[in-house]
Amino acid sequence: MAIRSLKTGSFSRSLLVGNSFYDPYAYKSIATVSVGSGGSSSVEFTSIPSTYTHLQVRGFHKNSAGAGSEYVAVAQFNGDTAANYSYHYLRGNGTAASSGAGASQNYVLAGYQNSSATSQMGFGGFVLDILDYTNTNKYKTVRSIAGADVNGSGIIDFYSGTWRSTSAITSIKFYYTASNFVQYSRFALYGIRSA
Amino acid sequence: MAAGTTYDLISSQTVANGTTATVSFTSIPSTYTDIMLMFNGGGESGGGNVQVKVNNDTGANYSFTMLRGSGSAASGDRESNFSGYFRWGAYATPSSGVYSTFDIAHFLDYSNTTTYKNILMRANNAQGGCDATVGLWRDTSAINRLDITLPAPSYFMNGSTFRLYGIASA
Repeated sequence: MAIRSLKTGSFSRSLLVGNSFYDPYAYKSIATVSVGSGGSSSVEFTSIPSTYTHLQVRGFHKNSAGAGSEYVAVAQFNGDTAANYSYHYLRGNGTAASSGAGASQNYVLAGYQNSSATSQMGFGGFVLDILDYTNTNKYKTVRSIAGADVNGSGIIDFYSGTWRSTSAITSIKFYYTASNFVQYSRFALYGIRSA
Repeated sequence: MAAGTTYDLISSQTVANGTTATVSFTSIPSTYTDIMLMFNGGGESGGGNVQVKVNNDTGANYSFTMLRGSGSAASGDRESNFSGYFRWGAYATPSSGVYSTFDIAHFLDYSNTTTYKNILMRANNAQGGCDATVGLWRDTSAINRLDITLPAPSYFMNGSTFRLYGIASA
């Protein structure tokens, strides 16, 4: 059945009848990657649409190097492996606070993780925000809260980072510098829209 | 969950009777990827840390690592094999009710039945300071209940709000 647009007078078989698709949701899931039984050396989101204002990645992850191995999942954008990144961090280890920084790095920091001999334990969590990711006039800024507790030790971290590129971000790759993601690791990418 | 939504308000509660010490969210659906709990308010009648109990578990299955900024120094704290709850920031009871607390907690992959649960928590009070905490609940059960408590003799101020959101993924 054709429907007539009150706005244009045109007929269409779609309820949109000539109007652009309207998505009322301001926070939307773009894609999710769950690591399977074989593990994975990296997780990558590609062809990220440019229709949002900010991106958020919510990660739940663990490395495969075994008990006591600590890694920070790191992120690269648009396949850029050069030293165009920098970061700062603020860390709490349960007794004291510390901080550090890295200039001219090959990645930004996303999420701390501390493996455990117990298979169910040692998964780290992070919430990474990538701000104004399509803006082509400025470098890109990211921030993250991340941490893991393994009942006796733990780390809670804040990260900030910059990717020195004015390109819109179209892909994000997560990896450990010397380990793999184990099964049940999960990365969920969301888009946040503004009015 | 309505089709197409990814960030849903599952439930909200506002304290109104002036004697509430515990707010509970029960029968939390397992249909989301993460859940997020927000508390905005304060406490009365004495100090106390906001406590979060999961699935009514009173056992020694909680541990957490905390980073704290008091305004004059940064410090840390840790508890292992802790019984009965997570400590969700220390600033629920400011000396003046004008300064309310805003706390947020992310329960990541809360419904998976394979791993223990990771919780990222923030607590913020302009008068008292700010905390960041990572918690571990050593249980593979899906999280279906949260109880937020101020220990006696304290209770939540009238107007304190609690909101539980569900975040779905593709």
